[in-house]
Amino acid sequence: MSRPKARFSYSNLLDLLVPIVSILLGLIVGMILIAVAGKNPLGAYGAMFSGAFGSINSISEVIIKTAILTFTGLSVAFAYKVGLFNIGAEGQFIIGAITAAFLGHWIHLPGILHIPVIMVASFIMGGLWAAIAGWLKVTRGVHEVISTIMLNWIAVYLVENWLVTGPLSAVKATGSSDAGTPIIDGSAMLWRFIAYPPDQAGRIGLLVVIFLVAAIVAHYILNRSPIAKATNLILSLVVGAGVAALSSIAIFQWQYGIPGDRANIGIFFAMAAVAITFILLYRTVTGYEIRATGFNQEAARYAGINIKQRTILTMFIAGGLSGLAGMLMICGTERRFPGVFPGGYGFDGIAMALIGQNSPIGTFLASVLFGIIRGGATSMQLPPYEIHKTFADIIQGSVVLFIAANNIIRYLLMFPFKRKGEVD
Amino acid sequence: MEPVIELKGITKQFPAVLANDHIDMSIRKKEVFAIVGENGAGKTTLMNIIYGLYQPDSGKILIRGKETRINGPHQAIAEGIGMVHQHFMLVPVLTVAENIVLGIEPTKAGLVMDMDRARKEVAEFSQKYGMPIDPDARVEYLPVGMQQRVEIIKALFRGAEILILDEPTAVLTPLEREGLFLTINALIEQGKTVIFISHKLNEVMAIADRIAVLRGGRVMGVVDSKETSEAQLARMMVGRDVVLDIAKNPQKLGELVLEVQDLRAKNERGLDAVKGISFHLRRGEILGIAGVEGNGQTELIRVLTGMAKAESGKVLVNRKEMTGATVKSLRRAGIAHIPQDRLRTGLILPFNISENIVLGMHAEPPFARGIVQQRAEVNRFAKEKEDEFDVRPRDITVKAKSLSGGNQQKVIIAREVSSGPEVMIAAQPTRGLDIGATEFVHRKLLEERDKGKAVLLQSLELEEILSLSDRVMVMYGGEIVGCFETKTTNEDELAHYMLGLKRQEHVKA
Amino acid sequence: MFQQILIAALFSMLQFGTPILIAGLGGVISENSGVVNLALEGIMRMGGFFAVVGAYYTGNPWLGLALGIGMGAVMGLLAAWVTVSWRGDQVVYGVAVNVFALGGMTYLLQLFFNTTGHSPPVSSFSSGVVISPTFAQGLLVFLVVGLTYAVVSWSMARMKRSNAKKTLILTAVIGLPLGIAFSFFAPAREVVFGAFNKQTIFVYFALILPFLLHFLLYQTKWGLRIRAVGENPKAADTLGINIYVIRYACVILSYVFGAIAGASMSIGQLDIFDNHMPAGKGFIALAAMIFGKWKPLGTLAAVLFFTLAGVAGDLIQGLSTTYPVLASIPRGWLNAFPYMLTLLALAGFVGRAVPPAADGIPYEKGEK
Repeated sequence: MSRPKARFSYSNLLDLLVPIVSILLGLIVGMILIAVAGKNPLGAYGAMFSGAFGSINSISEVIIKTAILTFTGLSVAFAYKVGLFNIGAEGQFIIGAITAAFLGHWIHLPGILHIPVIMVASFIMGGLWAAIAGWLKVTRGVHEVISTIMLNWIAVYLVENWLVTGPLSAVKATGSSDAGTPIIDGSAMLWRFIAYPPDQAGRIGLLVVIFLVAAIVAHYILNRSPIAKATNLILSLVVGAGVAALSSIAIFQWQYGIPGDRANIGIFFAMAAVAITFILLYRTVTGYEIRATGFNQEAARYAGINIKQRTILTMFIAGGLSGLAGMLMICGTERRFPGVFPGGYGFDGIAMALIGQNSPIGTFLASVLFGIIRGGATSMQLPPYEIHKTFADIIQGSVVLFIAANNIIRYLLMFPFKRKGEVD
Repeated sequence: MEPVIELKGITKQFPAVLANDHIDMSIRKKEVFAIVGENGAGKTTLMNIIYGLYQPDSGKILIRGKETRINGPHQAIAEGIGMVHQHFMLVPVLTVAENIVLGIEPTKAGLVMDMDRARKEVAEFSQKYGMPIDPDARVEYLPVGMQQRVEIIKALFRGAEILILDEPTAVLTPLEREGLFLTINALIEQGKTVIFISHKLNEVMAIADRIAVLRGGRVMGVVDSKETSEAQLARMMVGRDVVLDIAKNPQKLGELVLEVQDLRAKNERGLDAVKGISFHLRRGEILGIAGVEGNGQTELIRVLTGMAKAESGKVLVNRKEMTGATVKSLRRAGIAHIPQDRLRTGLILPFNISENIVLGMHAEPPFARGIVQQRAEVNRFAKEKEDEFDVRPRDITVKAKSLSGGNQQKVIIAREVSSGPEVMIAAQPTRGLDIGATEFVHRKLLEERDKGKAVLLQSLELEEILSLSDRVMVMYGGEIVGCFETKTTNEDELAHYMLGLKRQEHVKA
Repeated sequence: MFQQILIAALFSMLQFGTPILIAGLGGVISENSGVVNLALEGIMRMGGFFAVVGAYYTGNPWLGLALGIGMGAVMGLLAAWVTVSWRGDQVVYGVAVNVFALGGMTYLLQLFFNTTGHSPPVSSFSSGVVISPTFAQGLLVFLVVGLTYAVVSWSMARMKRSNAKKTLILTAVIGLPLGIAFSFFAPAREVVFGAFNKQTIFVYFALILPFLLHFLLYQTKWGLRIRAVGENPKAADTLGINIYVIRYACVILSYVFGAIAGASMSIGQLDIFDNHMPAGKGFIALAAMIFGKWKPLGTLAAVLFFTLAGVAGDLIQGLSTTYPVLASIPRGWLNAFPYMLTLLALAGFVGRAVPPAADGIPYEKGEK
């Protein structure tokens, strides 16, 4: 009856291979579509990837997209851990964005305080917006898919067709004729690091030192607990990144408003969020209880876990992560809530979580990849390819489709081993 | 008597286990043929092969002397084989008639359901076999015995001549069981053949003509029920003599730890389920709760463990009032709980052993400091308990879902025992376990008693209650109808109380 | 004055509700068989686009519709293959289709029509069906009888006395005279005439569909089997019902409905494919299905509620010329109003919505 348990079996490897193969297949579907249109697929992909890394400006775009996708992706992945499907990341994202746009212009603080205040507020507002769905779920039994869809529309209409065009509009606030809300204060703008003047090099150096020290300390502490060595290394790097990210606020934020490319320290926030959600989920009592609730509510109740409260809390945190994505969008790139809102990141977050298999690190890696694809897709719009940038959605959709069809992929990958009868 | 079904060399291999190993047997017309064996002996697999749900890897099936390949249930049905599964195959939201005609619906114009005809035919069938039932009742509102009746009619309606009953009594009350046995006899009268699968020896002795014993996927023998005994069957089932009596140490009764006063509670459907129950429990004793399923035991235990709220009444733990307390505070006050459904309640299947073994204690020191989990401490603890309770495989990273039932229960017991309880509440702790694991659980419960803990044991198996408890109280209709010193009572007496035929005037439990 | 507003409101209700209702019923048929269809938004987009492509190249809206339906059927087949045969996660699959349709149709729009805005006008159904007053009279009878049927079968179900024959007889006895009486009431007739004149054929399709589906699900043997498969597939399997055939059929039908819903927007209400289509209507359809408790007539009621709330905003805007105080209500609030109302209704009145028991769970033969 008892089966010898291998620490590392082919079936464990499969869990890792499925998303990778899905991504490759998704890219192939994209190539086929380009070929059907009579264009050179390899050339187009070449343009996409070289476009993504072709200039400081495009690298910068990749970085900001990655950062925002990471946040919305984490939001969906986090809610999934308690068993909820957060289709509402988009609405929470918008709520976080408008909060940032409001606080960025209407309160005035020194940079070192302004950003943290906005972050906290965006987190709380996005979180509360999502918590409505969590609360409706546990008290009224309203399915979260439907309530978050409704909340999305409510957020879109109230923000875009009321706040941004009405009470919070630039027209009303400053009398300018710009669409959207007024430009936020310089102190609320995230530091853009790529076009730094040479004297900033010292701070970058300091940041690297902080990262290394934090990673080494984390590694030392973790070494005393019996965690597999590989996990330890990754974990300490993640912790290092997180600490560095948080200190970057202190190091950089006192000086702001530097012109240049749009990439900003938001990417460090995203890495910190990956580290924090990972630790929260797998190293704390709260995370244990959230996962327990997600897997088996009855058993969670039996263990004395307050599942209603945990469910609402999870939705709150998930919404907060999406809210932070909105904050990054405003304070990092747009610097106002624009008249035409570049939405969709919330929905893309669903795909990031799914491709990343709902793990924080997987979600981050998926976000990096699609940050690159989305950043590079703009280059495909130019002649000779003239492929619209929504082509990235095709790849993203196909990859998720293959994730859904993971049993087929597993079957095919198992094929060489089929004879040995190790399939289960 | 000519055989209706003959099995020759049936073998079925699953990835981890050889479920059936060259099984030969032949079943005669108009007999009740019982198949007994422990859980995992291969009984259900064998029946699923006959019913076409699985294909054997080798071997053949002869039906009425003709070799037949059964590709699926529809073909089994065509061959006159019907099966009543252990977990009923009914659609709860549909009516009795709809469930029975499903797949062979009477229609007008080939598509539109003719419900009137369906109703009439169902009524005729239930008349013919003496199993009256309301064709318009929604199945989900029927009691279990009635649902089983629907299953049997469903099979007969499809022209079943051979009826397979898979553990049919597991969910029945004794009264319903008597009804089922009458039905089986009526079926035999009408020329049907019944295959009766069970692991309850007294039942197969009572109903079967011949009994086949399976162990580890093999046939250990086929015996005539008139020429065998329960003891012989038990020996064939487990391969050794089973100790049916448990040696108990003399009782050292301590102070009062749990006191319940006039407790009332409703069940999940909002109906009164616990109707004014009072009892007390002292250190060093095992108090058994006997009763037929569905008489309020589940609800009582849910209230005592904090999983459900009481309507009124009082619960005192160590003389401190804990009525309406949360699971968490009850656990802190020393209530441990072995739940009746280990898969649904007791474990989180995708969690590994070390995560499961701290469930409920996960937020307490030394497993957590603040909100930070102390993984090293958890893992050390899990390793220690794995050794102590002999959990196999000896690997704390194995997920609970890939453990066998006995090992899953060991994880739960290891956890609950080590939570340092004052009161151990065990609900059907050996349900579905094989004899070896059952013995283990019994030993652990007695150890707790001897350590001076209080144990509240609820079980549907009277034998278990009588062999473990110091006192027994009987629940019937949500009330305690009798309380006895185990030494001074017996199975017969308790059965009268369990069925509501008798009750004590002033129960003091 | 009041009549004019009522006609205008009803007209836009029918327009707004048609795609939602057709798509929502697509959700109903799929989920009753136990397969979650989250892809309605994406499939509406695809159906709408291919209907325009077909109409563009053939010059015939019917052939356009046929191409849209064909595309839906192919996508449905693929969906069934992945989620039923290969037990893929149905929610994930739905997300995939939605994302894919978003980029894919933009890509194809550029490929076929060299634009990312909207396609050139194609021959379509958008001019609508001109009806006669007599036809409106008949329509009124149909509507009253239909409404009666819905009320009767709902209350029979409430009293647990469901019976096809009795329901039909009661409907005929109550509804028919009521409908005929109503049809001679001139203002009612005029309102129906106004609301229906020049509506597209899709509106009629959408009005008949819930009753057809109700009949299919609750009065035929296929319906019984579909519901059995959605509630307890293993039970159905042991009775020799082929789960796969039923789920394949329901999923394909569901996708076809989604495609028709999309076509009703592109070559129905309009004569172009706009790159914003269907602008969230697929998600509203999903909400309507849940709101309607996975039942055809329930979904009809939910869509009525949605459209009523949606039109309420327009009404207020329309009335603001006469009542200036209404003009101070911001547009965003009016837009958000139906969604807020839905959320409140779900939280307050409807109670817990219970999906089919096996909804979303892939079925594996021989599962222990």
